Amino acid sequence: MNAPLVSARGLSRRYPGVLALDGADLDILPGEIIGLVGKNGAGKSTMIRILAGVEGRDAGELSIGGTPVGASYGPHDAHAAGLAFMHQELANVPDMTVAENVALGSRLPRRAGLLVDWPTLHATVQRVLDRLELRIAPRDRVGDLTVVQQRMVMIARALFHDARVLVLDEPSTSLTESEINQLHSVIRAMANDGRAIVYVSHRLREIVEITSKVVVMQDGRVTLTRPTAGISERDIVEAIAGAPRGNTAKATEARRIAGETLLAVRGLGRPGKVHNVSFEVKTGEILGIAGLVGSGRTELVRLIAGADRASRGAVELEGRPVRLHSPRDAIAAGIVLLPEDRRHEGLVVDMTVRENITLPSLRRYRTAGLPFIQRSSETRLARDMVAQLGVRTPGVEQQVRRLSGGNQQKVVLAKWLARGGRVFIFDEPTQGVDVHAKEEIFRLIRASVSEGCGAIVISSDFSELVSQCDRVVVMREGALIGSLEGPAISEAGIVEMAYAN
Amino acid sequence: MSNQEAETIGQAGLPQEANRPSGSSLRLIGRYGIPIAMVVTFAVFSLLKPDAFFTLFMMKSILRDSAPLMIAALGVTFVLVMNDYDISLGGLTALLATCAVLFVSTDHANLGVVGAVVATIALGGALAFTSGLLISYAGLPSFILTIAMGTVFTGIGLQLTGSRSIYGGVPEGYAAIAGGNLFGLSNQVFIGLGVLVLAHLFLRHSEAGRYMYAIGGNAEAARLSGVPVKLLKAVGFGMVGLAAAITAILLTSQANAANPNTGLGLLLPAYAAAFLGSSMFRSGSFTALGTALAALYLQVIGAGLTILSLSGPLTQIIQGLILAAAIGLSRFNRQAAR
Repeated sequence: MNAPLVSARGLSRRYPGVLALDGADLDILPGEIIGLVGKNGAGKSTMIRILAGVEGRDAGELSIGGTPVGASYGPHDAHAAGLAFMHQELANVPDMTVAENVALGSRLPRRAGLLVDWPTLHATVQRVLDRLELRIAPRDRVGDLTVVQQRMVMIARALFHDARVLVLDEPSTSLTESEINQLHSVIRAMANDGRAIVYVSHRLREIVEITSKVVVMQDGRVTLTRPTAGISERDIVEAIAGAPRGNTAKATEARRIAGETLLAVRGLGRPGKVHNVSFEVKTGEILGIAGLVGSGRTELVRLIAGADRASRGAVELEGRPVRLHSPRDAIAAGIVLLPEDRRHEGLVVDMTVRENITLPSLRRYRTAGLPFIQRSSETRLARDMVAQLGVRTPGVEQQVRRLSGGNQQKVVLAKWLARGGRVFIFDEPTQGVDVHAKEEIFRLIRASVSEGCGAIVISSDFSELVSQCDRVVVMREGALIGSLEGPAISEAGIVEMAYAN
Repeated sequence: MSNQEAETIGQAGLPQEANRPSGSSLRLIGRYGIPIAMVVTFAVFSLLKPDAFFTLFMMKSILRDSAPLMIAALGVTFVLVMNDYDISLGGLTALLATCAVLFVSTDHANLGVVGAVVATIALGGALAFTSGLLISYAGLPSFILTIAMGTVFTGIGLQLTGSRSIYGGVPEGYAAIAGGNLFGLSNQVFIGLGVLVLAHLFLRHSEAGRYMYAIGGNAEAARLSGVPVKLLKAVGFGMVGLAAAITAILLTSQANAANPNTGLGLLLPAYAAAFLGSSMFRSGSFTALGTALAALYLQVIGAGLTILSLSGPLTQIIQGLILAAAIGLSRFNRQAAR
């Protein structure tokens, strides 16, 4: 009875520049509710993706129901083996009925081997809904249901498939207290049934409340596996933060003494995304914004950079209010954003290195004052920037698409350093970049804040914020909940704030 | 060259190409297929009808007759660069042709030749720019909106003329625009060349042109870089209007009249020319020069078929097939470039 449903041993997975999983072990036993926690990038998603068969493993063994699975293990095999996955984004078809959604992906009952036997299907689905004590009907249109009901439909789908293991990724996001209780009672009922649930969440209170076992991941490894009984939220926070890694903490004296106020953000807000955020950036300062994915960090900086319109609040640069109706306004004022998703927002990948670097500063290469580009001076500038930043490319006429992630990021940097600005906003500047390039990128960020400029850096790698920023503010659920200065800047401090209730 | 040798070279210089050894010969066809096809087509017509086709007179008239199509095709190149479509081209040209004659005719508005030309071009630019504003600021899909606007334009043209051709009262000076000659070549050749030079300068060398390519490549990245995306999109549609107006003037000047169908048939060959032109380049991008060269090629085919007495339906079939083939080739080149 207690043989593991899923058993993973020494799972490893390497992406360019990062070891996402580094010999992780996980056992999933029948009737268990496992709380899987860890920082962003700790390896939770990679682990789940390997279980789901959407990602392969470089090393390690995986067996399901006691049978080892081979390298060809894919999503279809995961489904057949009774593993079901529920992601944050609802994967229902809103225009179809509950029954149709629940039966999605399984063989429908047939009449005369040809037509769908709707009465039988509806009756079967009704039985599943009854077991979950859901007050919805098989004929209801899924698009008309509430968010929690839609999530329940996905759980019903797992039950309909008779899934043995159900992995829920942040299932309580945007649910109310009573809806969460409803969700939890369904989860408990499934566990009592002998099924196993993996509950991935940043909400530690829920982890403590509902799970029977806590699994903490850090740097691609499982660093803690303990029964939930007798563990406190505080213990989990400490395990998530982990032992301070040597040499990451920056010597206090190296943190810069703040200069004048450069940028002042006052009560900035956008409904449902960012709530009444105020902070300042001083000249010569690198301000880190920490927070979990979805805490509103990107949404906040997009408001400051004019990429989205704020519904309330104001931004001042050197005491003067800045009009922020478009990125154009922000750039004219000297506020520039280096977005997180560089391929979709930072670069025109089918254009050349030269064309990308000069895009925001094209007006400077005019011919005799006319709006025609003087190619020679444009090329010269592009070459200078490529040399200065050490972009590894065969030449400035190379398509950006063909460069590596780190070099693409350097092109984004080159583009904005060439344009110049007062406040540089870096959203996850080192994501998908190898270790060597990371250091170089921070060296360039450091250089960009000289001469009366300032920088804001968002990073999910808290150790990076600790080692590189002069001050760190922490966001949670769209609000800025605290600020860390000087010696108080530590990974443990950030984690505690980011996860606090 | 042996296979082994090819691999060694590939590994030394171009590792990406070495991965697709069979693709490289296909890519050569993709890259040089159009120029080769042009030469072959030309040779075939010349051999079949040496005394009718391969003559100075024929060459001159091909150059002359390609001008209206080339100008219209250059117009749509501006929106294609930004990944938009303007399907109203035919209806717009028809309406502008009617308006041009109404403007210039002494029986109607009698604005004089210069006045009529200026008014037509301004009207064309304004109408298309308005569609552009609706598309970029109200966020309407360009494909469907311009189908709707094209129908509206065609309808207005028919309404204005009571579905009849209008002629009479067209001053000689107006007919001379398309009918006149300079250095032994039709004025139309020079007008076409002038539009080509302007379009090339704009797209290839101006800031706005570079921004348009950036919008086509990645509109959001362009917006975040400070490019006025919406305005430039509207300007691109305005360019279609200007081109349609010049085309309409040439067509009516040549015919000394406008009929409600003038220019309606330009839509398909204009897109065929633009796509065919884009398939000549490795990156698959739309350029003024590519469009112009392809328009000329379509005219060569048209003239050749006329000489062989095969014009009419066959021309349509061939133009349609060319458009389909050009889209395929263009896509293939674009993927090969990745």
